Amino acid sequence: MKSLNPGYKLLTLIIASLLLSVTFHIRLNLIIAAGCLLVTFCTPGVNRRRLLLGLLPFFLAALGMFTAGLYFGADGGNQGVEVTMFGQRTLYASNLTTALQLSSRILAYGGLGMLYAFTSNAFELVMSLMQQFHLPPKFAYGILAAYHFFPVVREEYGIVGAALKARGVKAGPVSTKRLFPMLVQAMERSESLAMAMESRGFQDDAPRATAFRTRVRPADFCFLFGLNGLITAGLLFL
Amino acid sequence: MEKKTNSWKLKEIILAAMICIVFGVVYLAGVYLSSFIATALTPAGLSPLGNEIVFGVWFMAATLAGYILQKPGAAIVSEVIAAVIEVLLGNWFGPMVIVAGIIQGAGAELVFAAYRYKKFNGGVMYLAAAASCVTSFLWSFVRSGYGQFSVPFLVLLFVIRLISSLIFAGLICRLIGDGLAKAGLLKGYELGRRHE
Repeated sequence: MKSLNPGYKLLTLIIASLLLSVTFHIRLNLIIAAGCLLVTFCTPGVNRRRLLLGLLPFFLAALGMFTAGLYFGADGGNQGVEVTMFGQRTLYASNLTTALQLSSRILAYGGLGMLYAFTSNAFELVMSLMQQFHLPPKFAYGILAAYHFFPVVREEYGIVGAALKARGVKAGPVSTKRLFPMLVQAMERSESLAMAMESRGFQDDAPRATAFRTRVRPADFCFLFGLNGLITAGLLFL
Repeated sequence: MEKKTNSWKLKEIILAAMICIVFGVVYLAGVYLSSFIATALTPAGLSPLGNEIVFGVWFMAATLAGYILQKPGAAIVSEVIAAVIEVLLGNWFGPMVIVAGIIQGAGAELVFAAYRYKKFNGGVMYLAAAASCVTSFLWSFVRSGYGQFSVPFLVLLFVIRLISSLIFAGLICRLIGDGLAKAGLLKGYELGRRHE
């Protein structure tokens, strides 16, 4: 999994997700979720504890969709078994199907997402987007430059919060009082970052040498057509 | 004085990406809050509401970058950059986020384009926020199967998402953009030049 070209892997999984999002196939969704998680879990070098922890929000989200589908699903004729839960609602069997469709889909997306997130590397993805998908270098390196500031900005969020607290200002997690100082920093940082890159000779249109090459192998195409072929086959025959 | 051009300069790209990073961090903080609400609402079947409350934060990168840079493609490109960064950071929903980014950015972009990238005031910002909300809601039908919900529930979801978009992506982004321009930080960008 790790040796696949990250750009093509991304493309493969986007197509796979799109295939799943135009259909409602409970069994296939569950098979994909389980299969992806199994492959991710068995890939050497994957942090298995983080993977298991990462699954928790998914199951919560799936559970949330399940109850939402159960209570607020569009009624499919209202026939079927009546169930009373919490002593106040009448539920129909058609709603149970809706609930399963919605929640199993979340799990399938989760499986595909995890498969990608745990076996890919950010730098390689950007290099692959630039080399195989013709992303202009100024976008590629601009995004990478900003990406590496993520930990700094996250720390800053805490600092701004602490500074506000020290002054006795109350600010919610997404308040303007927090946003504004962070954006001021972001403006100044982006300007000096761009200047630094340009002053060291970064030019968009100049011919570049690549120190890190991402390759496309036959395996990438096998994965692209194989996975999506299997899903299509599953949709048709399962 | 620099002329307004439609091609992207490196500093504009980094600016857009930096805005995405800041909103990415803020969104993360919002997500903890919203997933707490969502989990709390699960027994009542209202858990999608938790997500809708912070949905507007998703569009902030598109409308703010569109407002500051005021050029064709600013909204959609920054929303896609935001999505790529989400993927780089290892978002759970991974690859699908990029498709969502294109669709959400397209909403705001259409509104800015309808005014030929010449008019940027409060009304246009609210329209852009609302348009992103509408396109993203249509996408929810495909992606999350919203078509399976009953109509009153859908209306409730939509209204909450619309309010969230108008507040975060419309009102707050405009206030922030004007504030930054007044502070003299945007001299090199279109919005700053208009304030001079």
